[in-house]
Amino acid sequence: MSPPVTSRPALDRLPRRGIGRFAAGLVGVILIAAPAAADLAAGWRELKALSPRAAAEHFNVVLRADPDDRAAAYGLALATLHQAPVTAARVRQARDRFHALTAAPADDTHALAARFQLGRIAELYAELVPGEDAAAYYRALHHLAPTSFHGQYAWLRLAAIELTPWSNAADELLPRLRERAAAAETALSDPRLQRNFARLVAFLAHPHPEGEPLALVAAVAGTALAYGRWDIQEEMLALVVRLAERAGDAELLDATIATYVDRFPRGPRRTVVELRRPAEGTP
Amino acid sequence: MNPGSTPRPWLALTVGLLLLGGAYGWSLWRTAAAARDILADGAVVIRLAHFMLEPQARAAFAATLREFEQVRLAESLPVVVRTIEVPERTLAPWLRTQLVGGTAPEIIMLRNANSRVLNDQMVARYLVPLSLHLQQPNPRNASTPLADTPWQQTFYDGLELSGINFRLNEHYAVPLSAISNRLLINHSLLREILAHPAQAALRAELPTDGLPRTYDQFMRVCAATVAFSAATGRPIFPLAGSSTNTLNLIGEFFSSQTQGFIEDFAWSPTFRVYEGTGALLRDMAAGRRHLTDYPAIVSGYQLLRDVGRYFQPGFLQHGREDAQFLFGQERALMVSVTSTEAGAFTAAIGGRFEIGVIAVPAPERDHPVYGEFVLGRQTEANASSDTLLSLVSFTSAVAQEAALDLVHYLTSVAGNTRFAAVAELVPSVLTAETPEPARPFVPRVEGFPPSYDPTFNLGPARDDFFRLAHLLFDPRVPLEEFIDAYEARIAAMLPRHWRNLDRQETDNQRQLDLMLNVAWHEELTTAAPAATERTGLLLDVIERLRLNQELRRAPSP
Repeated sequence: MSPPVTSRPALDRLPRRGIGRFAAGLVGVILIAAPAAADLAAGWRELKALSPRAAAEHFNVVLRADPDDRAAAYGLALATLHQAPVTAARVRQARDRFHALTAAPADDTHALAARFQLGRIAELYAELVPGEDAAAYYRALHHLAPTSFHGQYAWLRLAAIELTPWSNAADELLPRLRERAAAAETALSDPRLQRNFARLVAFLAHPHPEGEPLALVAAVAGTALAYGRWDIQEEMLALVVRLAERAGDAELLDATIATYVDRFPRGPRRTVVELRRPAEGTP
Repeated sequence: MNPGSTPRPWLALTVGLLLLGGAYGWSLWRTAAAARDILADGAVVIRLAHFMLEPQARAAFAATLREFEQVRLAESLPVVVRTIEVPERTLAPWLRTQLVGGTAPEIIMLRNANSRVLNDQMVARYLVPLSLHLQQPNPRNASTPLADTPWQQTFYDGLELSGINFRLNEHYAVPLSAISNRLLINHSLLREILAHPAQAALRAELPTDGLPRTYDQFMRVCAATVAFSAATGRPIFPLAGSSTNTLNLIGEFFSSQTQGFIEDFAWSPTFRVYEGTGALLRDMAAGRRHLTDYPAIVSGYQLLRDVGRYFQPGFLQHGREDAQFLFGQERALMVSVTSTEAGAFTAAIGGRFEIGVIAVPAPERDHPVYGEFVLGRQTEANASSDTLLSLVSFTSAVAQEAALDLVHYLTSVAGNTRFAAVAELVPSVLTAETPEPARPFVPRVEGFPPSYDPTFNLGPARDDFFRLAHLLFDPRVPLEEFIDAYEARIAAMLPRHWRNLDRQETDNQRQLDLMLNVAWHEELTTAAPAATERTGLLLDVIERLRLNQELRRAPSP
């Protein structure tokens, strides 16, 4: 007895059913994932164009499809913070969104960035949301992820916050500066942050030029000189010249001026730098 | 399953394909929309809006842009460049409308990257930041001596001031021509003045071309003009001044006396004089020292008083046109102009009299009275060019690439030489040739950076300077009376000004924080070296702004 007639042989049906399921799945993926990915990219594009309101709409679309999308949640928190006009309510809302993002494993990139943003809110929006302690956020973040970009940047910001109040008191400042400069060797591996630390040390040390600050700045500036950016090199050489002159280190002064003139014959600070060249015969 | 029904898998496949087709069509439409500036023959259309309406400048744009089109055609990258001429008076509203409406041209010309034409928000939002491009060589300089030089260092001033937005600390433009201040002299009239027998000694003292070069020669020519006017009854002033073109001139005189104050700025994070953070200002605001405590400042104002008596009465209340009118009508011997406006100026004279050009004759080190505070000749590389080209950020990638290429071309040795030759302007690029008529305007790039001008480089102090100028220029009023009155105004204004600056810098840090986050996100998702570089750049700016804020709070070293 022959088998009952069906619309198609079973062997025929299986692949077709497979194609159908694949197509349906593909459609599903296109319907759900593609618009979400497009909206996520559009959200960041709008942020880049400094249009946080439009960015927030895109991030919300993504989050409606996938509430766990962390890039979108981070983008939405940023968009909330930067929408005009800046109000206390908006800053608090952004702060809460960043807080929500921090509940993640220590190596989560967006959680680290969110922790850093909480510090920035405490620094830059203090008049709208008082009572926040930027230093505490930065300290905790650096402790949590000391080698990450945000962990290192937190270390730099923490140094700035903790050192600047002592900028006028050499007795208090110099030991702290020495301690920070020694720690910087291990705390900062990112050259972008190292050169900014060099500038901070130079800025703080310049009213107290005798001896040690010069050595500190010269050491940090020496590191900064290794970077490719010519304007950073030019600035750092000018800093060392200035400090060498004030500290009376004629050898370093001479060598640094020579390096400056050699590397930057048309440098914007050449005249100022050359003014510091000791006159012939000066001991 | 019902044998007669349509199999559902095929329906799903059809729907899926339709959706895919739709998505593809949509992306095609988007691409087409983005590339709507591409002509049928594949040429990319770039639009350049500028305000240089003088015939020479128009001809220069026409010639240089056609050359650029030819160069691109030879490279099989055809472009069509269209210029949009916008009178400067209507530039601001036109530009804002175009930018907000999304219809702005790919390249726009600005006088200043910090002007009120575009506020910082609009600059950051609509213009392309150029710092990263400026670190790379200009590809249109290949096979020239500048082939390996970073683009920024190919400009005569290293873009120390030109094109940079100070508050955002970012370059948003590059200059098409260099800028300098010069004095135009009615040479025909000067010969007439010097022909008087009483001026024989002066005539003998002047160089062979008969034009004054030193401060003393200049002052004696001014005195001779006054004497000539009195003797002939012809109303002729030695100098034609106005609120717009005189501050540069007297600023250069004053700055010759304040050069020693460059120390004040040597420790600002960017070494820039205009940040308003100098130790003198901090001491003045705190009441620790007074302006009269600084002999160089008193000397600077005395110098202005000496020169100021040769302008027409009330000159600071006059407009640029009034000064031009006086000079054009031969009722003033000299007038101060910038290199970019000189061409239009001399064209308006129409050859009615011969014109000579001299640099501002500020006192030099050997001057018996004013030499004490002079360190040396001042550099002119610290003035911001006023023919700046910016790229608009929201144009399509294809158009933006072509627009950047055009800006590279206009600021290459070949392109800039060509433009300057036809426009009769000083080129902005090193090694580019300067045409003969523009040679007297070539800026000095060596020398000492300028320091405080008579308003201490404080924008808000300028109005008070104009209001009190009658005390400065009236020889019957003791000089100290003017200085004390002006100091009182500045001291009252400074705390408010600094609070505003502080607020502005905090706002800018907030905005830059957002830009840093975007750069960081790009770095995270693309791992592109450019994104890493951009993150570092923004970080530098943010930290510098922070130090600026700290510097204003710190006492003087």
